[in-house]
Amino acid sequence: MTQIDLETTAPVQAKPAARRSSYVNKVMTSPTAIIGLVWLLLVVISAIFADVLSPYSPLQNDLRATFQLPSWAHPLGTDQLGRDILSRLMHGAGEALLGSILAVVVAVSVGLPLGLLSGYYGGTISLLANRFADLLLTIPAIIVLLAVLAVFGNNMYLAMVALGVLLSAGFLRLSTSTTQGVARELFVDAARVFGVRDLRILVRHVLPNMIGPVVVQASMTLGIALLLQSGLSFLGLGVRAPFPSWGQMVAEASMQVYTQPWLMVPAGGAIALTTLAFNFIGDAARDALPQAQRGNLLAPASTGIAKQNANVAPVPSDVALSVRNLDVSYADADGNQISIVRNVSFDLKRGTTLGLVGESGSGKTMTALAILGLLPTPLQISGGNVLLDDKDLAGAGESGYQGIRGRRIALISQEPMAALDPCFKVKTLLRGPLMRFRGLSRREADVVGLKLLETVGMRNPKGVFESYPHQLSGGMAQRVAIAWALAGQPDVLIADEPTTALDVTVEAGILDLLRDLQAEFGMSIVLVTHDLGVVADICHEVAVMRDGQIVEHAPVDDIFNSPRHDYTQVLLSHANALERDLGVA
Amino acid sequence: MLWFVTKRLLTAIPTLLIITSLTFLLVYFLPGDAAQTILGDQATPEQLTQVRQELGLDQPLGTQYVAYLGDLVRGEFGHSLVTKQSVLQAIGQRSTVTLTLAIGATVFSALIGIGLGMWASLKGGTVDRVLRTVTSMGMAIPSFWGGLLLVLLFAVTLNLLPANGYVAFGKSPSKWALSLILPIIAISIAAISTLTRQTRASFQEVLGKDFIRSLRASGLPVYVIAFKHGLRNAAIPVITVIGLQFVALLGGAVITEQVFALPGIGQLVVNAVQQRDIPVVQGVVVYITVVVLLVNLTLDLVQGWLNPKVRLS
Repeated sequence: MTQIDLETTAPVQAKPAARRSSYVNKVMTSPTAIIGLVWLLLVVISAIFADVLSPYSPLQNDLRATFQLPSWAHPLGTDQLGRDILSRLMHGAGEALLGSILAVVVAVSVGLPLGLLSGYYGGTISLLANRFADLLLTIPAIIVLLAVLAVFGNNMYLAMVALGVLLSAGFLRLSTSTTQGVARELFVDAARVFGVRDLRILVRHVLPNMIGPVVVQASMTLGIALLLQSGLSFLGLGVRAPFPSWGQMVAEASMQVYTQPWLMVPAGGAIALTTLAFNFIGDAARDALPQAQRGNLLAPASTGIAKQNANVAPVPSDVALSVRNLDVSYADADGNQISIVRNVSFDLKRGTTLGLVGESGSGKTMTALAILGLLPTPLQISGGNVLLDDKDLAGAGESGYQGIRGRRIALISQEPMAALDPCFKVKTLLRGPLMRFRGLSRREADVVGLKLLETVGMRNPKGVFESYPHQLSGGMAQRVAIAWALAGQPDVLIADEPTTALDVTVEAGILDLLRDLQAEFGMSIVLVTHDLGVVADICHEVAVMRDGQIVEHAPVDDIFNSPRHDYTQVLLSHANALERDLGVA
Repeated sequence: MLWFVTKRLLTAIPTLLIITSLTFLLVYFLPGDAAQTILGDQATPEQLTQVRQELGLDQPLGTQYVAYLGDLVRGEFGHSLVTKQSVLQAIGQRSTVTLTLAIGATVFSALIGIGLGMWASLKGGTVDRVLRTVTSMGMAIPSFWGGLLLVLLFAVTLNLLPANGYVAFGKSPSKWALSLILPIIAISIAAISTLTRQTRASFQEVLGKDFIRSLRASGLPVYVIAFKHGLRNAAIPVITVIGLQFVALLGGAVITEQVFALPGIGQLVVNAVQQRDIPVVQGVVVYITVVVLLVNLTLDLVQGWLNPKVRLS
């Protein structure tokens, strides 16, 4: 019984109403959804028209024709009393479907409104609703159903109403988190400011965004309800013999399992296939929802370029890292290669800092990640060279990066908090590269690790050493990340917007630290940023990127004093205008 | 840590109070006169009076409620109306089988499900697609039917395992183990499928996080990242799902005991329901709730141990 679904990413992006029909289309074109719907349609038709369509009466005994295998006269054979199994299945379908639907209708009508209220208003309502859901999730459904049946006699539909209340917990949780996600959106705030009534906001703006996830949950819940209901009738509860019910038919078959194994197939198959149909529809409905970003550890970093790099000009000795004609792209749904980075080339001179600047989407971060072979899926290097000494990293594959990542080239990323594994202490993270690359024992690694924390200017290195990432501030976390990057004594440091997520005062400290470390260890740095102030502060050379290409590459003074490319001039004028507005120029 | 445990224990109290209140009220939900409904039309006036006394129906509601809760606290669950046996004793005799099934199935499906889920998310592609369809089917097979199919294959056709019956561990540990294999597999099919999917989803989400990229950039090999960092982070939400699966598996055990003729709580409660033996039904509901609360508490602790944010806040 799944009541919490990690597969459905709950806080959906709020989307305009016009896209809803495309959601339905997307579900309907999935082959599994079609199979599921066709089967359900068959079951519904045979349930509604059982009296007309079934070849025999479900109660008609024929003791001369018991335990028959499938034949033209009895397509699914006959049971221990010679009753036609197909007819019994068709007559039992109504109860099976109605019971499950009843449970889900109750579950939705209890869970959805509660979830909307608790997600929208939060506070006490949310607390109470949450406790209610916890309570429901603690109670084994089958036990409650048994208690209900014990008290109210063999009333299957009443038991299904009780089941619906229990299953409402799933809808409550789902609609709470979805509502929370949507209620945080700006347009909802705007509506509130304009005095739109809460109820109207909920119905007009929040509810539509919930339809997809609720459809997923509902179809999965239909399957669960059907299984539980058949379980009860298998136990002989809630059945009105001799009237057929699917679970009861499996129970009857189980008496003959040694001699008449066929008898097991039709009834159990009907339950399993109908549940499967619900699951298939649920899966298709889930696939059609917007997907969160998913990672793939084993995806190759590059594609089809392994052999083309045989003849490259050697790297001059004063260059730490040379990127030549780098292309990064991905294949879209139709198989077309979409280019993200095109023909990017630069040399990073030893002991200097190169700024990669440009607005978001210019390809600067992807260029940086491509150097380390850490492009997010589905992006891949599709051409060019990344030369470290005389080794080409592009096309070297995962094993080619052994002894490179962390040891020769290290990374500092934009969100220091997100970049540290929340489950491990700082010391555990630092130990990794220290033990691996410096061959230290655990104890030696801890000594060096503490020293590293001092090196990056940590005031309380011992305390930080024993801390988990969530106990650190953003600035401290970034210093830890820098210490971590230094652990392998790399020649090249790739810093991807290292100060963007930090306060201005903290930013200055981090930039000073990077400059000091460069002076001390002679590292070469690739600094990705959109902030020209940072560039002026720390970079020796600047490459300006736009639309995946480098449009201008020059020493930092030239860029600021005599920008040649139009785009560089535009960037500079924006930066100047901003400084004027803030009164800092 | 101690505060964490105490807090969790305290939150269990309202749940327990609500459940016991509902079980207490079970008798009052009976349509018509409770004693009459339980005994049927042929009951003599003496019998009716006796059952009323037995259920405490001759006293005011408040007094009854306090007395009922007091009894529960002292471990006094009343007596079966049918067999006159003490309810606690009846449950005690049968709980071993049910708990062994449910806990065994939980551990079994957690191991297999987490393994398959990791495999699906690391491999992707065909493995992932095939597992998705297979788990969809796994979730659709009713445990009692799956159990019968297993009996048909492994007991009747291949003659490898006993078809039904239960051997106490004290009598023969090997036969005890053999008698539990098929029931545990039968009720685990759905749980394995669910856990495979949930683990896959959780794992994939973790693999998309920034810190995985940082770990790769720090030079850690892929398998260390997957098993040490990926699994640890992905396990936190999966533990919650395991707790829910335990609840479902307990229910599955109750049904599947019938298929394998195992003398567990299932038999006890199904008979009690059919005979309207209310004290037994009440006792089983309270007992199962306590078990679930204890298991959830344990899983909470595991979760807190895995997740420093929970433990330290």
